[in-house]
Amino acid sequence: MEALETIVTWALLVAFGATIALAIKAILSKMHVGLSTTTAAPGVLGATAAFAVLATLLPTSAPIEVPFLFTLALALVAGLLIAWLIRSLVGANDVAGLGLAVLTAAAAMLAAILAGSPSKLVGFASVALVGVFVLGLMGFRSLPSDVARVLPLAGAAITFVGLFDWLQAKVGSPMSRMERLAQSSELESVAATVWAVILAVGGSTALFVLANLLFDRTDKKWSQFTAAAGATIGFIVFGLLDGNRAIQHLGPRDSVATNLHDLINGGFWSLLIVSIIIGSFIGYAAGYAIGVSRDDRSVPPMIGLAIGAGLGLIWGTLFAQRIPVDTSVQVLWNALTGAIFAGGLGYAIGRVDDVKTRAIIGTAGGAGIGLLLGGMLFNNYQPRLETVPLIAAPLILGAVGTGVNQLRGRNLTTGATTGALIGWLLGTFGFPKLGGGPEVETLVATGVAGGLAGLRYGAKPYLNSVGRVNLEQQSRGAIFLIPALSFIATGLVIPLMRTIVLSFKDERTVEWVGLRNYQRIFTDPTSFDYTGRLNLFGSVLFYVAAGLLILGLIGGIAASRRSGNTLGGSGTVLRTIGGFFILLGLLEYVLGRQTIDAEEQLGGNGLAIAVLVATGAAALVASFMRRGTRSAGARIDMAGAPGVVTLVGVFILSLAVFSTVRGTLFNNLWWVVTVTTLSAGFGLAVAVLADRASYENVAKSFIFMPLAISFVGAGIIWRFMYIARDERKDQTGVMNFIWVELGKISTGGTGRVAAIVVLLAILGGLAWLFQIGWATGAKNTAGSAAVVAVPFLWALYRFTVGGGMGGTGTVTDNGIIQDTTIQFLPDNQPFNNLWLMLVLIWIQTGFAMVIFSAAIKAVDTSLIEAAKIDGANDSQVFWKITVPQIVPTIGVVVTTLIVVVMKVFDIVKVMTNGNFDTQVVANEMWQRAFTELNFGLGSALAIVLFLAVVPVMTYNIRTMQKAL
Amino acid sequence: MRLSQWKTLLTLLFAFALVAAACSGDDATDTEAGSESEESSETTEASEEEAMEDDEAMEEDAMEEDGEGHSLAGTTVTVFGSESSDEEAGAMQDALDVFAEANDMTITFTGARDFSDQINAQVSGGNAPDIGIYPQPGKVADFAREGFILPVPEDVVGATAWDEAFLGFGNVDGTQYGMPNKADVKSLVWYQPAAFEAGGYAVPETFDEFVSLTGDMIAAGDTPLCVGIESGPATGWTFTDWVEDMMLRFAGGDVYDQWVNHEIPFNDPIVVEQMEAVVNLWDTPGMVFASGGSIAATPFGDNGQPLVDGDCMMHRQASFYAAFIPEGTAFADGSEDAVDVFYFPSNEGAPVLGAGTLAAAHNDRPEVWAVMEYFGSAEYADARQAAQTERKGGGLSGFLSAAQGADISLYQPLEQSFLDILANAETFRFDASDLMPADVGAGTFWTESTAAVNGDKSVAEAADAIEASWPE
Repeated sequence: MEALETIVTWALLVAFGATIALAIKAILSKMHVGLSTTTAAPGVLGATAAFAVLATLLPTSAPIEVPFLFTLALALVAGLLIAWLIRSLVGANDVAGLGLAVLTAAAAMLAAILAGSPSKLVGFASVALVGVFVLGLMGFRSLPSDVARVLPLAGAAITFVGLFDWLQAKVGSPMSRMERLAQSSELESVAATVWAVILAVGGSTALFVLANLLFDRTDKKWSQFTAAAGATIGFIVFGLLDGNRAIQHLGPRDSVATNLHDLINGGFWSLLIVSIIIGSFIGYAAGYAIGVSRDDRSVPPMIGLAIGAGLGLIWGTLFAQRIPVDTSVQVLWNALTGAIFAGGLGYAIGRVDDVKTRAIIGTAGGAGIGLLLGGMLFNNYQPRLETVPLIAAPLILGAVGTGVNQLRGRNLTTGATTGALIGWLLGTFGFPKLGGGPEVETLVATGVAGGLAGLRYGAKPYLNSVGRVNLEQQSRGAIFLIPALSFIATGLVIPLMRTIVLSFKDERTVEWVGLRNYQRIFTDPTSFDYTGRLNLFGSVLFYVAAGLLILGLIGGIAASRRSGNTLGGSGTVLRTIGGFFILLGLLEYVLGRQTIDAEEQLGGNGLAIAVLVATGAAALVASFMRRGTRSAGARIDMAGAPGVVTLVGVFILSLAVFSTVRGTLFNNLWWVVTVTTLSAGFGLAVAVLADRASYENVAKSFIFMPLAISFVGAGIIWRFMYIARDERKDQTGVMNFIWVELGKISTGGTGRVAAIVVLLAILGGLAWLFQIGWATGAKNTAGSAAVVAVPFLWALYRFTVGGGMGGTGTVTDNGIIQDTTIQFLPDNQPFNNLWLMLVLIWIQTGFAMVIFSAAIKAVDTSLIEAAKIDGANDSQVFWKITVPQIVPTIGVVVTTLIVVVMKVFDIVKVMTNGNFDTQVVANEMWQRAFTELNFGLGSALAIVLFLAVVPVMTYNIRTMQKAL
Repeated sequence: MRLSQWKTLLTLLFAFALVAAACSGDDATDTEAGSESEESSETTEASEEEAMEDDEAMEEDAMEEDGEGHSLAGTTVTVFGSESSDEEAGAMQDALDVFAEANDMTITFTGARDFSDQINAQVSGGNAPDIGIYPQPGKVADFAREGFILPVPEDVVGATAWDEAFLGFGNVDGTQYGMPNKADVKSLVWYQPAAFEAGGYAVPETFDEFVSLTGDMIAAGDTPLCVGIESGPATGWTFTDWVEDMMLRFAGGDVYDQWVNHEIPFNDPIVVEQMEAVVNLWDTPGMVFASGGSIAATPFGDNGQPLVDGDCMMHRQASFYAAFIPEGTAFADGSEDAVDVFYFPSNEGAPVLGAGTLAAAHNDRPEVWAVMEYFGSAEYADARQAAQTERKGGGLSGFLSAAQGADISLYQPLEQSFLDILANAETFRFDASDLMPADVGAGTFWTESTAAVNGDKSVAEAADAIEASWPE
């Protein structure tokens, strides 16, 4: 038996060598350089030397103990034999044959090592490839492009890897004798890192180059393309499945063949027979395909049959013996097996024109490959088939596939087989329980699946030239898309799916609880509390806001009377507002019925409904009344002051609303409204005001700077700014320091006098400005001066007779004067949220400013000049020229800000951790999931946040594609 | 031509396969092929080296065999805990280094203020440390029932120097999961004897005397208490300690146990009464000095300086608070600025509230259990106490161990008095919030209490909310 093993092993090695030799010969002939004695000799010498070294080393690692000389002789003889074969086949001269022989022998060694230690493999592979490389360089000066680029690179890379391996082995051992610090483990970790880098860079580069080479062949060399594509798919599928198995069953494990071996349970001979049968089958199919293409259907199938049977014999024999091979090599071996078979099938399919023949080949070959895969699946993945889904799923999905292709006007068979394949996979691996099923059923499952896949590609109409070019282009796109999509899938889609699933489970994600987590979010008063909504009508802020809104509206209407220019329609706006208010009234009615008792319903609730419905109705009536008189001028013109007043009104309204309806969700919404409007507003203001001013860049840089600070960092900074010390101590927080010092100054001493003088000076200046403005008719100047003067006047009042301002101090029972501090974060709920929002506004204003600044600078100056010539002032230019042109940018900035604000987490986490009524959704999510280990509720919160962000994000991306 | 190009492609594929093989071969090098490859490549170079190489391989083999039989050389153990100050975390590392150096292994300690959050994330994310140092037995029980931590082997439990009372806190449903390694006495009040003398105050003997003493201090213009409950994600725990001490004093040990085990509801009148008593005491005008302006915003660690500065007269806090008293302060030696403690008085009996940390293992490796055994030993307690005293510049270390057989001479007289309090306690109870399920004990009990202390909610509302959050 041992003799047989030896012979078979060497036969396989020789076959490997032959493959290499053929490939090299192909390269040589592609180079258009005939091998002459002089050019080839040094290469041959080098390769021979390399071979000699290899041969010396071999006996220690060969799978079978063979004396050195015997190995050498056998390899040389085998090489010469192959060389002679090649020469007679391809017609190269003798020297080429000799060189090839040596190389073949070297490759045979390589193959022998394939079954041995992987580490040695690297070393030898590198030496052998250096031989190839040197040979290539010495013999041929003008290399064709593809090869010239790839071969030396591959050679060099592998040489480097080999050298490194050698170095590691060499340096590692003396190191281990040295002291603890210089331990070889450190070197190993460095080595491992370098390895990983080489693998990543080299692997990606090689993949990219290979993929491009592959796609180059799509159009002109179709069968090569299908072969290579098949081989790649086979390599990947087998490698992944097998690698997965290797990972799950760490340690020595079985190969495809040994699994098949166990499966058939008949020992060595039965495996051998099965291998031969499979080999013959595939070989016949391939031969038949070639035969068809050559109009000779008798000879090639027979040759194919013979070759296939032979390969099957070798394969079966080698692996039936359970040669002790390393896991990683075996994974590779199985992957290579898959690549060879799938590649062969691909080649056959690509070669045959006749659809029927191709379908037969595809089905047969696919089934064979499927059987191989089935042999590779280990116990955990073996399904227990169930009759109903097994029959129903393929039938139903097959019918669906047919229907779809009927509608699309495509090939019906393709549709049917695609559907049936998916159905079959579902029926075999989707529905039934996986693991522990009978092996025969596994083989049926994978065999039929493979057959269907083969049929699907075989039965496809032959691609014409246009189709191939399209495929080529699509494929090239896929090179870039696939890595990106796989990153998105692993980093985004899979976690999202998992989170969605978890959100329907209980605390420890064991039991399904349906929508309970979502119900809790919208019923728990800590996250969703609308019971205080009627207090809105008792809030001063609400009436201030209402007043401002009405004022803005009146101003807008007045402005629209004066000028014919417009910004936005009025009828639609009024109708929208009217509908909104009526809806609010209805909502209030429903809520009132549910939550408030009868007496209260008649009070605030009823009043609220009445007010809301009346306002809505009034707006609707107004919108329809305007219909008749609608003309170019009959629109509300919100440009300028009316717009600003309205915006301030909206802001104050948001304060009024969000201080009456509370809870995490409303709080988050409040953040969105406030931070977004203020950041965008301030950003726009700075961008406009600083535009073309002196020191514009310096000013903008300072405003931009906070953007460089992390949210956590900003949170810590501001926490220190807000901090209050005990009232009897010096204040260390900036805010409270100013506050308390202001209190000290305003209540006495020389500081008070100085402050009054300064205030008077400022007021004097403002009065002067006002006077100039008034006199020259510059209403804006006069108005601004008057508005700015108001706080200073108030300060003057407080400093003189008003009893001081700031932390003015209180007298305790003991007669000690205490300065009052402001507890920014714990007190004044819920308005303490504004102090947190300020931090984010501080950061995000810079972002808004930069984008707006760029957009404003992109506005066509000729338009502005034209407007100015027509007599427009700065304000008009801004509102009527600039703003309409940057509307898309405003959309992008606002939506980006909304997304950022919705996700706010760090600032709240650092500054209050959600205490003091400042909770937001992201921090609540963290606390639920990680503090309380309630993953169900945490996931549900994450999903709520996700659902809120998605529409904004979608809009953002669409606008951005249009705008930028 | 066509054929040849096709073959080019095949060649490249093969070359790529070789690269892949070369790289994948590396994985195997780590495990078993490493020494083999070294060996064989050396053989070609020189026979001398070959001989040395063989020796080397022999040595390595010998070491590996030792590894099977309990040698810890070359192993690494990670420990993660809540103690994060330089003194505490540094001394912990020092103590672990003593063991690591003796066994030629590596032990790394990481401390984080938000341990209770982080350990959840780490454990549920599958990257737990080898050993977690849990301040909360309730958490250990939760994790034990979830299967996140491993039962301690009998021989490790048997080797511990701690008595049954403390071991019981790490015992979950009859199985030992946590090894005690640190004890705290919580029923203590820190004060400056000199300041008391200057004000003519006497150390109170009963709780009623304590309350009347605070009244005297306010009347005399002194601020009686320093209080601050801010502690990052754990904000509120100082308040829960007060409530627990009050429960022990006014409801008794049995009701305390019922409260911990949820045999009485959390919003039971007797609990609400104690919570209200604490809030009302703190809200008394002139009672509290909060260095951060308000109690809820003052970090718990910021009360040491005001106490030394005389901004307040007393601070009720556990024995470990010695680590937060400013460096260089003398302890109970009769000098001018010395700081001392008295027992937080009770009207009846002498109940003691205590706490401690439990080491629990997340990974099952021989070296992990060796370190677990070390945590339970008197050697660890001694090494830690010595290191922490040194790091505190000779002052009170803040560390305390109830391990039997520990070197008592390493403790200063004041610390020995803590040990006496522990040993003589009539009623000893573990911190209730640490025993309750984490949802409550490390969740709502803290957050709702913070809201109550800050005046955002009434005490009754807070107690109702805590009761509602108790897991089924």
